[in-house]
Amino acid sequence: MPWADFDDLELNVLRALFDTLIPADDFPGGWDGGVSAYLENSFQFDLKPFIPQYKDLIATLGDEFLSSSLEARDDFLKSLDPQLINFAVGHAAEGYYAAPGPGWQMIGFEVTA
Amino acid sequence: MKYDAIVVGAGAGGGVASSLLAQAGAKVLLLEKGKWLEFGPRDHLRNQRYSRYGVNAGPNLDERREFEGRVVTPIQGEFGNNASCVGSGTAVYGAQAWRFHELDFRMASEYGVPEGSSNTDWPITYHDLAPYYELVEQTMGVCGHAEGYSHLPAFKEPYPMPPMPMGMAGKEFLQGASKLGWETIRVPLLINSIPRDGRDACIQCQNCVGFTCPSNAKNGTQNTMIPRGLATGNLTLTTEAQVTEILWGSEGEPKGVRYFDASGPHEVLASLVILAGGAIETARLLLASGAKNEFDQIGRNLQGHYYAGAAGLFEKDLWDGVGPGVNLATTRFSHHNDGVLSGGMLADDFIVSPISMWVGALPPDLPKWGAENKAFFRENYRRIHQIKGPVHEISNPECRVTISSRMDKYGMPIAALGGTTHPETVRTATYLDEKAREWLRASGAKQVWGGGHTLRLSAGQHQAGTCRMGTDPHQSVVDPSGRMHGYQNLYIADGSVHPTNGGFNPVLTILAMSWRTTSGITERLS
Repeated sequence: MPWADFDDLELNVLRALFDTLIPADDFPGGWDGGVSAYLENSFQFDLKPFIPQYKDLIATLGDEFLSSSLEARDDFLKSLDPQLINFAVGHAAEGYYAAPGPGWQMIGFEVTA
Repeated sequence: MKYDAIVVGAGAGGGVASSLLAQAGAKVLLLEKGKWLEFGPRDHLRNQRYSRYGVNAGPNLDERREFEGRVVTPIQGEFGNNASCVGSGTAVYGAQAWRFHELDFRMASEYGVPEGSSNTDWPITYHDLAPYYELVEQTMGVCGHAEGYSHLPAFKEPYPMPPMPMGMAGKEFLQGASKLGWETIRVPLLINSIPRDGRDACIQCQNCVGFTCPSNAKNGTQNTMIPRGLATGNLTLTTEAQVTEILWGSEGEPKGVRYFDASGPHEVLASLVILAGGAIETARLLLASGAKNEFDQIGRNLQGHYYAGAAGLFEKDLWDGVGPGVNLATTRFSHHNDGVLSGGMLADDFIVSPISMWVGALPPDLPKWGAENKAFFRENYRRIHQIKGPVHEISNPECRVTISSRMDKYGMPIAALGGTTHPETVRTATYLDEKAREWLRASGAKQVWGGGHTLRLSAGQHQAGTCRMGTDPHQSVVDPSGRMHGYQNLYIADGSVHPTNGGFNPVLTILAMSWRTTSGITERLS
């Protein structure tokens, strides 16, 4: 089970985190735009070593993050030492922009062959 | 059986050497530690262009090197990775097919020898190499505009294929250059712009550099020289075979090599051994085998290419989705630059994958996440274009390959890398950054950013220099024929032999130098 390391509450915090890093507009937010699928796969392989860091970050964000508005979540992440979230920022972009999906459609990266 | 020759490494140099020897009638064994690559999924996080979590053309991710005492893996920059597969980098490269500039062969005469550097002239000239450049261009297949070079003597033959169609960005950069009064040239490519040699033309996909070609139109040794060698019946190619040692005969000459494959160790014998494993692996194999090294030259002068350049934001989309994307270059800054040594070619870039642009080419003051980052990328992915190019490095003898006390799984010492380029390289790169910005602005960019350089090791895909060619054994490893000083039957036919590495992508020079060295061998054998 790829998500076995995270309980439902933690998964919801992860979703809120990635939807703050890449917020939804007329294109999906980070979680539904590719990050969820990317992490689900990568947590079994290359990103497995990051699971403890995500657990720590989820603890730092806390339940309050989950119930906050996008604006408040954005403000809160900005108030953190960037070192605390840099790894997640990178993974967000990898999930959203490194494979076919809404990210490519949004920026206009079209593949013909 | 005893072979006439064993060639170690099936990349650019080894592909040419093994093929030409087989075509001349010699019985040749070509040993390659990687595999044959097939066209497959193009993973933007695991390729030779962006190796975030892996590579697509080797080596195995369990390989290790040491950098300044730390153990590093193939996806770390300090590893200095180069592809390991049949064709090596030529299977996945961007295929820029540049001849070096005449002055690239005369760096010490032109610029002196700065303190702390090992800057040097080549022992041969452009004119010595020109016939072999031509053989590679005509045989493997280059497209471009050979009549258009302002910085090279006239070619004897036009390229066998016309240039690729000019993309939208190229047209803007052409206008920009003409405003500045800068001469330009279509970038020559080892790519079929028209069907040729029994293979299709380029279908202008968006994933060229870093990946195998969907129409097999990219001309590497894996689909040109090596198949021709195999067709003679004289060439045996063994893949997934890691050579661990050169075996020495009673006269001290090489008599063969030991290699490991999945079934274990093998010893194979030959009259000649030709090394072409790339600048790091060739030096490693020589050092690990205890080759003569009286003057401590093997492994020194490791160099690759700093890339100078900048990114620009344009007012309109310049992304037409027509690959490979690289269109136009200027060689105006290859030499004769005020206040800096040497220089380099500048060209517009290949189509950049979304993740590579996000990681490496967005403005430094843009927030790294949030609505602003998303909106900017959405608006501008198609409007950001880069100008970049390889800087002719000033070599440092302390930038070098040695061998570690740590062993790989075969019991062979791993390569240990250390040192940096010479500080003059950084100055030249910084100078060229500014020229890239100037070209971008003249072409319509409203905002430019990027560039900036620090002293570091430079090796990677353009690695060279560790067995430099020269007449004096105190300062070089191979003689001007490509034969190692102190040996009759040991040759080197890869980028290791470059005394300096030019201000251009080096592959055409590696191919041509191997052709030249191998021609000398076949003459000698006959």
